[in-house]
This record gives sequence, structure tokens and C-alpha cells, in this order.
Amino acid sequence: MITFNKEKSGNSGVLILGGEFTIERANELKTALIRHLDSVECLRINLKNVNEIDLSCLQLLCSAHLTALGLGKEVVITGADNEVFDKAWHDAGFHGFCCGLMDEKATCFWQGGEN
Amino acid sequence: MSTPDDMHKQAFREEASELLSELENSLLELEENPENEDLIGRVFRAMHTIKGSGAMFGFDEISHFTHNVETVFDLVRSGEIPVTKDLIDLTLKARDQITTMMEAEMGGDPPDRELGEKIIAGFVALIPSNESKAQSGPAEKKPEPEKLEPRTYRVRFVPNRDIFKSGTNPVYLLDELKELGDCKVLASLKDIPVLSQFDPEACYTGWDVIITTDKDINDIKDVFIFVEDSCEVSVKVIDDPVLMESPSKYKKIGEILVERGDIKPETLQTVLEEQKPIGEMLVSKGLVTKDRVESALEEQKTVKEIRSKRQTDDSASTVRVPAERLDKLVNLVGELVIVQARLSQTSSVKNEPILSSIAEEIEHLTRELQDSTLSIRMLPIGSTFSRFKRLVRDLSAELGKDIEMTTDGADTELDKTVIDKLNDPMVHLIRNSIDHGIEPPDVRKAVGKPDKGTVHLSAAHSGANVLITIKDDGAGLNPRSIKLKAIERGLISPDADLPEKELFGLIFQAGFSTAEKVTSVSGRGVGMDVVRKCIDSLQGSIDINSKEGEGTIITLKLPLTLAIIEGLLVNIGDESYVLPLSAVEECVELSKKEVDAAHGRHIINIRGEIVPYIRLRDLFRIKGERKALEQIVIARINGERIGFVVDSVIGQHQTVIKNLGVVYRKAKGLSGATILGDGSVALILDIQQIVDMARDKEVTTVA
Repeated sequence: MITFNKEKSGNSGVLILGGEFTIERANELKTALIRHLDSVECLRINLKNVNEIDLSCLQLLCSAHLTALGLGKEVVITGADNEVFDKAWHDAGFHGFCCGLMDEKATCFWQGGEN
Repeated sequence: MSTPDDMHKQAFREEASELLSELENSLLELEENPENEDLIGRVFRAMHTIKGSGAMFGFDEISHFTHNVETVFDLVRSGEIPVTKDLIDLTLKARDQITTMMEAEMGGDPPDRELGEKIIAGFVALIPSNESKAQSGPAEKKPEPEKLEPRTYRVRFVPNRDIFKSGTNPVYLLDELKELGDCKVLASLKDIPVLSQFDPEACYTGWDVIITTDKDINDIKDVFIFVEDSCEVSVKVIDDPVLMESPSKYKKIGEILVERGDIKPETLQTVLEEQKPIGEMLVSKGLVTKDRVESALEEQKTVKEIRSKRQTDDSASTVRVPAERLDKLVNLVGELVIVQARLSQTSSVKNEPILSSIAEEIEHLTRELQDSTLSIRMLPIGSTFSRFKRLVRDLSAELGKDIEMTTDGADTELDKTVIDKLNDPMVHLIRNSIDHGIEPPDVRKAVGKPDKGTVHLSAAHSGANVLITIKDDGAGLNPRSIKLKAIERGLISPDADLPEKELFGLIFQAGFSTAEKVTSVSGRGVGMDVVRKCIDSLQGSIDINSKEGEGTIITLKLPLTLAIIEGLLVNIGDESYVLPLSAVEECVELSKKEVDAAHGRHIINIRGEIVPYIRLRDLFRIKGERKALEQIVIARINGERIGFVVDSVIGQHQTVIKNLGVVYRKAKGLSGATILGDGSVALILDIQQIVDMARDKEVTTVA
């Protein structure tokens, strides 16, 4: 399930991801990311309720971050202590550094955010 | 059009087929060395890979079947189950069953399920239950195999962008890699695009993995065995303790980046002059991405930690190419050779120095290109030899004989096409050696021979040919019974006095067999006839040496390649012909006086030796008058010298063999055609067939 809550200020919103995020849902996730990133300045992506996530969707989160930087916006991850997510990104070797294309001054995607 | 899924399945089939072939060899070696840990490991890994990759690509039945075999060999590895003859027999059966299952997947006959269940039951029975384990106490463990010193490797894995579509999850491959040793997995995300350009089904991630393991480089490569054709995979040893020089030193970041191909050496040199930390400078200049530098730093750190020195390993630099692409390349080179011949001919006619110089250069380059191209198709014959080990094992068991197969010259290389066609004739020859040649143990004992018979296969280069010998220490050929059988079959007249070699040659005639009884192995007189036809079709020859009571040596003389041969160009009337130069021994003149002296018989006296000849003008019914002074090309065929009379000998000619096409496929005496420099066609002669044709004609005439 993908839910989006826009904050009152209108500048930021939370995209709550729930359930399994594998390649079958990658297109759905992409559409949601484009739509909601377009509507706010700061997009918080909450992964607390993710039961499964694979490489295709991890890449999408990176792409969202990259897109936000290009637009002068912000993407922040929350709920990253979710064990499923933690294991998936370690297994995929994303540990230690962020997308190389990103602005080095920017906060690393994986290090930002709050629970 | 094949989908990525089809391509991956095909890749699995090819690789599994290679693994099954290796498995058979490993099992046969293991039977002789049951304690060899390396061989046990090889059998286990083959089964493990077939099982794992089979499941990955949807060959569930194969995967399930292999599971029990893998389990048993895991127990063999840990010393809980010993290697016995029964285990080897059962595993060989399992290997055959997997082969049948693979063939069934490709549209072959379905496997015998009952047999499959029996094999599985056999393996299950070998697995000790927990209960019996408890009763018997802890199994006596074998000492741990001596492990290799851990080495550190750098694995760069960049999957094909479509890898998800084939159902492969690259992260699973990383997981498999992690099982081999201590891994640092570093993803490269530099290719990930912005959302608007993002294809949700594409893989944009690549990885550098620094792995420290006591496993071999091949074990690492095996992880990627089914994706290596479509992905970028390179494995390099970056640390080898055996070659350790200075424990604490390792390459600088710039050197690592240059070595990985991430930056150019010139770039490094320019940036170095600015004297800042190299990684920082490269990133700030946008010459390399930050993740690449971090990955390189990680490597540096890892290797420094384990104090070693980098060692390159060239075994990783191989490329798997489909055989048809090579065939196409060889064909193109063949066309180039023909065009080059035209160019050389034109330049010699025009007699222009500049053109001649270019033609010479092209000739030189073409020759080099041809040699390089043909060498790509060369394969060691060892793989064919090792295939026969199983044949010898099974046949000797079936016939109650004790026979060992030994080999020599397994590294000798031959064109792939020749190797492929060599299998059947070799099988027939080995079967005959085992069935008719080598005696049963009691007979061998009675004549003072060791109980165990030997079949020795060897290969060696001899000029543009390869000599393959099949030697046995059996009873040898009996010239008297061959003669009697030949008379009985009407192949020779009862008063014929043939030398031993010619008598032996008769065993290759259709329907000839001296075996007193027909067995399932041989004795129907079909095999040896097929052998000769096969060897003839390969432009080769067969030579037999045999001594009664001591054994037989059969030597196959084969050309290195079938694509381009060295030929001898001759003319008869207005026609040109090519004879394979490898068989030609000399050319002599044939004057009218010599013809008259022979009183109508086609023989000539060459330095005291009487040599029969065939007049090709007559055989091919070429119109026109014979020349007063003709030429005889003397060739050696199956040990005999025979002459071929032609009008004139032009000289050596590099011959690109072209098939004659469907219509002329059955034309006797011809093995193909070639195009000459002036664009005309010359037929390539099959001299063995021409001799047969002349012999048949002679027999018919006499009869």
C-alpha cells in the first residue's frame, strides 16, 4: 500500500510505503514518487511498514533522491531501521556510500531522516 | 527472436553440459583416487551448481533430482560417507540421468522416471539417518583438507540492464559470493538516472566486491557462470600471500583507478602534479565519481589490512563465443584469401611496383589473419580422450575384462570441426580394441601377460597433421583369418598374395568382421567401415600395425583444419584440380616411352620401385589429346604409394575449401572446390576415393 499525507504547510509530505516492494510494484512506486515529489519541496519516505524490498525499488529510491537534488528539493528517508530494509540495502552493497552522481555536499540519502 | 529468458536457459544448458562432462571425468578419476579431496570437491561443486542454477532457470526437475546427489557428496566431503565403487556407479548413473533430463528439455526422449526414482532411492539410502548416527556415535571424521592460503580478489560485476527480465536477481549472486569468503560488497550507483528516465525493470547497479577466500578463482567465476555471457564480470587476484613482497605496501588510489580503467593514466599524471589527495582531486574535477574512489579506497584498505601484493591473473581474460560466430569468421577469412589471391595475380600481370608492394603486404597480413583465426578454433583433444574413459570402464566391466586406459598428448590441438567428427570413429576403434583385441584376464595370464590390459591413446603433431594412435596390448590381428574371411567374402582371390599391411587394410571394407560371434559391443563388421568413411571425410588416413600376440597400433593421420588446406594445383586439359599437399610425396615425369614399356599396365618404375598410377584424364573423361610428357603426382595413401597422372603441375596453392552443394554431394572422388585467383573453379580431389573408384573399376573389368 502507498499512502501520501501532505503537511499543512504544503511544503512537505510523507509517502508511507507498506507491504512488499519488489519489481512487480516498481512501476507503481515510480509513478507515486514522480507525482508526490512534484507536489512538495521535501518528500519524506517512510519505510517502517515495508515487508520486502528488492533491488529494483532500492534503485528507485536512489533515483528519487537524485531527481530531488536536480530540482533543488529534498528527499528524506524515515523508518530506515526497519530490519527488512536494513538487510536489503546491506545485501545489495549500498552500505557505506550514496549514489556517486549526487552532489557531495548533500546529506547522504541513507543517512538522512528520522524514524 | 529469442528472449533473454531463452538465452539464459540456453546458457544453462551449455554450461550444464560442460559440467556434466567434467563430472564424469572427475568421477572416473575419483574411482582411482577415492581419497582425493580435490576431486570430491569438484563433484560436489558440479552438483551444487547444476542444482542451484537449474532452479534459478526453471529446471526444477533437474534441480530436485540433483539435490540428493549433492547431499551425499556433502557428506563425502565431511568424511561421513566413504567413496566406494558403488557410489561411483550410482553417481555415474545419476549423471547420465541428468543428461537425459537435459536432452528431454531440448525436445529429446523423456527420461526413465522409474530409473530416476531408483537412483534417488539409492542416494537416500546412503544418507545416514539421525537415529543410526546416534547409535553409532560420532562418525570418525577425516582430517580437514589442506586449505589454500587465502587470497584476495577484486570482482567487478556489472549486470546486463535486462537482467531482471530473465528472472535473475543479481543480489542472490552476491549472496552466493559471500558464502565463499569474507566479502566487502560495494555498489556503484552512478548509472541510476532521474525518475523521468528510469525504467523500473532495468538494473542500473554494478558492484565491486573485494573477497578474501581460500577458494580458487574458478570457484568465484562459477558463481557468475550463467550470466557471464550477458554481463561484465571480471575477477582479479589483488592479493596473494605467496607472492608477498612488502607486507604493508599496496597500490596508491590513482594506480588502482587506472588499473580498473576508471581513469586514464594521462589524467592521473596531470592531476598528480597538483599534489592533493588524489581521490579528492579526481572527484572535485568530475573525472571520477565519489563511489568509485570510495570503492578503490576500500580495496586499498582491505589489501593493506591483509598485507599482500597484487597479482594479476590472466585466466580471467577469456571470452565465450558461440561456435557459429567463429565459423562465420573463418568463412570470411576464406573469402579474403580468395580475393587476396586475385589481387596477387592481378598485380603480377600488371607488373606495377606500387601495386605489387600492396599485394605483398596484403598477402602477409592475410596469412597472419588466417593463422590467428584458425588457431581460435583449435581445441585440445584431451576432452575427447577423457570421454572415452567411461567407455573403457563400462565396456570392460560388461565383458569381464580388466582394462586401463592411458593417454598421452592430450594438449595436442585440432580444429573443433575435426574433433567433433572424430568421436564416432574413435569409439568404434576403442570398442574393437576392447572386444576383439584385449584378451580376458585368464587368457592373458596363460600367455604370460599382466591381467590388466591397456588401451593407450596418444596424439602428436606431425607437420600440418595430427597423428592419433590407439594402441592396445591385446592379441593383435591374425593375418590368416583376415585372409580367409576376405576370400570368403570375395574381396580377394584365393591365390592372392597380399602383403600384411594390405591384408590389415581389408578390415575397413564394408561387411568385414573376423569376430567369431557378434556381441553388443562389436563384431557386425559395420564399425570399421564407418571408421574409414569418417576418416576419409576428414581428409585423413588410417595406418595399422599389428603383431599377433602383442597388440595392435592404429594410427589416424588427420589434417589440423578442414577450412583451409595446402594443396597442389594441377591442370588436365583446360581444367584445374587441387590435391591435398599433405599426402603428396613427389612429382615425376611420365614419358610416352615409359608408358609403352609398361605394355598397357598403369605402373611406373621409380628408382627401382614399382608404383601404380591412375590417369585422371581417363577417370574424369576429359576430352583432348594426352601430352607427350605427362606428370605423375605420387601420394601416399594408407601406407601405399600411388601416382595420379596429370598434364602439368602448377604448384603449391593455399586452398579455401568450399562445399560442392547438394546436387554434387554424392559425386565420388571430390571433396570440395576452391576458387582460384582468376575467378575460375578448381575441384579438390579426394584421392582415397579415387583409388577406391579405380580399384572397383579394375575388379569390375576383371570380373
